[in-house]
Amino acid sequence: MAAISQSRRTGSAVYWLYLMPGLIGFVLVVGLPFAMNVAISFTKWRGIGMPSFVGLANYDRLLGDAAFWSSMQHTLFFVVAMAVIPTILSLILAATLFDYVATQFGQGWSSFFRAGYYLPQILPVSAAGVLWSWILNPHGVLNLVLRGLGLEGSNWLGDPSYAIYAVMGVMVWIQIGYSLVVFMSGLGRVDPSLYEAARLDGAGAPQRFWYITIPMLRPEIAVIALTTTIAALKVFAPVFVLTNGGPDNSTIVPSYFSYTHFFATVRVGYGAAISTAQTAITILLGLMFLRLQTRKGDAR
Amino acid sequence: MKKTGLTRWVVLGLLVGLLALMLAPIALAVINAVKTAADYAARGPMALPRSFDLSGLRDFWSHVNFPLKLWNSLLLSGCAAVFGVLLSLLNAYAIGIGRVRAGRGILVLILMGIMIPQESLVYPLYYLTKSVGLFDSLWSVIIIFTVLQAAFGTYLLASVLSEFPRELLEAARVDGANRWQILWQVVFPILRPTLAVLATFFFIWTWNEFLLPLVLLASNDHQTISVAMGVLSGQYVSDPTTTAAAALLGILPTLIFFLIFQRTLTRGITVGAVK
Amino acid sequence: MGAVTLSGVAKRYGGTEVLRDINLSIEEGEFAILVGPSGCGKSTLLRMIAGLEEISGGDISIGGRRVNDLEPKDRDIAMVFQSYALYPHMTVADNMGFALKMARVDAAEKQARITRAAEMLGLTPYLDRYPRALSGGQRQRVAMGRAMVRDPAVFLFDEPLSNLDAKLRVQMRSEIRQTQARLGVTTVYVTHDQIEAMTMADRIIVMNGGRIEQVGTPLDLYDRPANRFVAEFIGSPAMNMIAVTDGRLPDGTALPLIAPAGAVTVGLRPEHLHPGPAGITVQVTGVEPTGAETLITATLAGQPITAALRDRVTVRPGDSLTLGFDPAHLHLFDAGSGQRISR
Repeated sequence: MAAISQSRRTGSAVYWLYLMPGLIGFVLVVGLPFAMNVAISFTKWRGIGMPSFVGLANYDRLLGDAAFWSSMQHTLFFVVAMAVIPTILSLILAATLFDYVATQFGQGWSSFFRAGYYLPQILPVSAAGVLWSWILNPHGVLNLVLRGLGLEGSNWLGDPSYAIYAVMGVMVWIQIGYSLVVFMSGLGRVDPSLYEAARLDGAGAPQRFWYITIPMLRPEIAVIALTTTIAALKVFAPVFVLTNGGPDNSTIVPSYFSYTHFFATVRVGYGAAISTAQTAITILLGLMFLRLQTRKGDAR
Repeated sequence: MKKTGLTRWVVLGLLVGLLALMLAPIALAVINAVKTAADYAARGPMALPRSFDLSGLRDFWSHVNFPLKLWNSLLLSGCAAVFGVLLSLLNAYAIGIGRVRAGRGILVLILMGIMIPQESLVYPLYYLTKSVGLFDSLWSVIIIFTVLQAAFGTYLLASVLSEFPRELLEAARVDGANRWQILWQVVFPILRPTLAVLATFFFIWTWNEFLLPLVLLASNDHQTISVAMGVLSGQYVSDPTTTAAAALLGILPTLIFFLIFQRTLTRGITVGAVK
Repeated sequence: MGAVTLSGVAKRYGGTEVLRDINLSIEEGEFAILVGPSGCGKSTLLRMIAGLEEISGGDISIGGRRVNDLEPKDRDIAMVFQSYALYPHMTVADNMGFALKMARVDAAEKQARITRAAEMLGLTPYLDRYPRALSGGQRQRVAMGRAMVRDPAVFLFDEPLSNLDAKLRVQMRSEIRQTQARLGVTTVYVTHDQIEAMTMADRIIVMNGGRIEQVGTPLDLYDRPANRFVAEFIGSPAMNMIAVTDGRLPDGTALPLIAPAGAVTVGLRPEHLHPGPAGITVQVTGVEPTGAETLITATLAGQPITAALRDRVTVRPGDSLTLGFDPAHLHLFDAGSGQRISR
């Protein structure tokens, strides 16, 4: 008996060898840096010399920092621009392409549209940023076109009252494709006879959307909601390339906020506190989502 | 079942209109990148080019040493994709097929790792790479992205492998294959299509990564295209056709990649939604 | 060389015991079939012989060698799986040769063995095909071929025919039996299908609830089932079981047979009933003619009873029918323990 349980234990233990490279890498690239970042957040540090321990002083300061609160508020704007709007739009688009275009015009058309809408999603954000700031700058394409139509242009990225909406618009443009392809591939596993049966039962397109598409795509919707919300909490590159957080912090987000404290003002401890708070919020939200989803899964 | 009449064409028209709107920025970059500045000034950005001038593209190409950036991006993304897939496979083999104890715990840990914003890692990574002399080295960034992509890949492949046909593994065991041979001679070839999809996505994700390469690859010689574009933004505002040329060059490799791997990319990939 | 001996074999998962004290010896060259309802432990037992499941207690030996702690590849066995478990990325030839490749058998020898097995199984034209391009029966043959090329001491089959359609199953039944007879390799074969067991086995091991109920030749089990479970499991339609007290049915009707005093269960196979002037009188509830025979479902003093009649009868539900039988065909079981009562 002893020999048997021994051999089984070694049987499973051998697999640990396969995990070793990954675990070591994960500890070095994620675990250790993250722990360091948390530790740094309790110190005052200029990046050189010894950090001095200041307890919760950085967090205390954070709570009173107007820039931090506006960065959190802008995060909500990005949740709308990256999670809410693209999810709704691409649900409608996916249903239209799957249930209407594919049956009326053929599969090829549906795939063609999907590919076209998807393209902005995979462009490097920085390159897209160059492209959009060229379009949105005061002498850019958009204003030239508006002027041609006899309308007043504006400094879209330079005016505090427009900048956040301009960046949001770019994010919608980027994000639609992501949720669209996930929804389309989710619909791919739905039995088409379900739609045919619904049609025979007299369900019109809106009913089919509401009673078939949405319920069938529930797992995908949950995943998309989770991943895009997390992406919105982390958003950095678009703000970096389009507005640098400005004007007047009107587009600042936590990632950019911590970045400037790390590398511009070199208040490393404060930057670490910002990013740690941001991480805590992200993980909390993520775990909440997952909890919600598994509970729903259990009920089903 | 085909309907006739107006509705079809209205729907199609709306979809085409939306598509045009989505692709307009890219189209604008193309048509303005090949114009002369005079042509742009005279007829505006919306007009098709009357002139044909590649000097904007050429200027930008040599100004940023585009071929070098391209090579850096290719090397980084290619290595991270291949190594990331291999690392994912090793991890997932242990968790999904080896069913190691604490496998679930490891997956939860990895999931949390995926959620951690890179801002929380960037300064320590900056500090650590500097102190071990790996700062401004493509290889350190390759290692970092290999691990980060593998975190996602492990999560995804572990669930794929936990549904790998048990009898096939047992047949291989009866046939005398050991664990290493089972992995490379049975599991790997059967999983190859999935791994190819994973590698495609790792490649494009790494290609588009911005923050970590921006911080860790400080010198011009090690920059990737993504970083070069980000650093450049705003510099060419006064010269619209060169800016259009820069934007076009920045997205051109991705456009080509998209045309080749369009089928794979548009199938989508997410944790949990993969069956 | 290929005898399989199990002594006191047990299997526990945590606290639950799924197999206990299994003692069995399968002789060299014998075709032994483990049969029983799903969950009876027959597959687990086979997998323990193969080395795919740990042994919680007792000993297994193959060819006189204790194999408890050996890896499957070192046990001199080959296995055919329910799903066939063919490697989808390998051709038929590579599938058959994989074990030899792992064992580093030299190329010429490997080729010769593959060729020989393929010829025997009629697979020669398909050697370069991939499994997905084969029919169900062909895949089944490849799985057999893969087992054959290893030239093992024992073949193990785990429900190998359950993925085939009825017609092909009958055909493959005799193919497997003939191949085994030609090779003379000891075979342990698991199935839940008692007809498969009856038609193929030299000896059948009937299992239930983690124990062996009876071991015997097919006709042994049919003619002299050791207990009610075996009696009802072997034979189709299942044996009728009639509760009898002091030779009388519950409603008082005397049965025309010599039964011991007290409560017993009388077993009578449906095919041993025939229409006759004397015997038991049943109330017909259903008539199912299949052409060759007519299946009558009926009740006898409120208990269900089935008869398979060779002769065509014209009865309808609701009719009474008198059925005769040869008393020699009666089986008696203890009403409490279900064990056979010898007469």
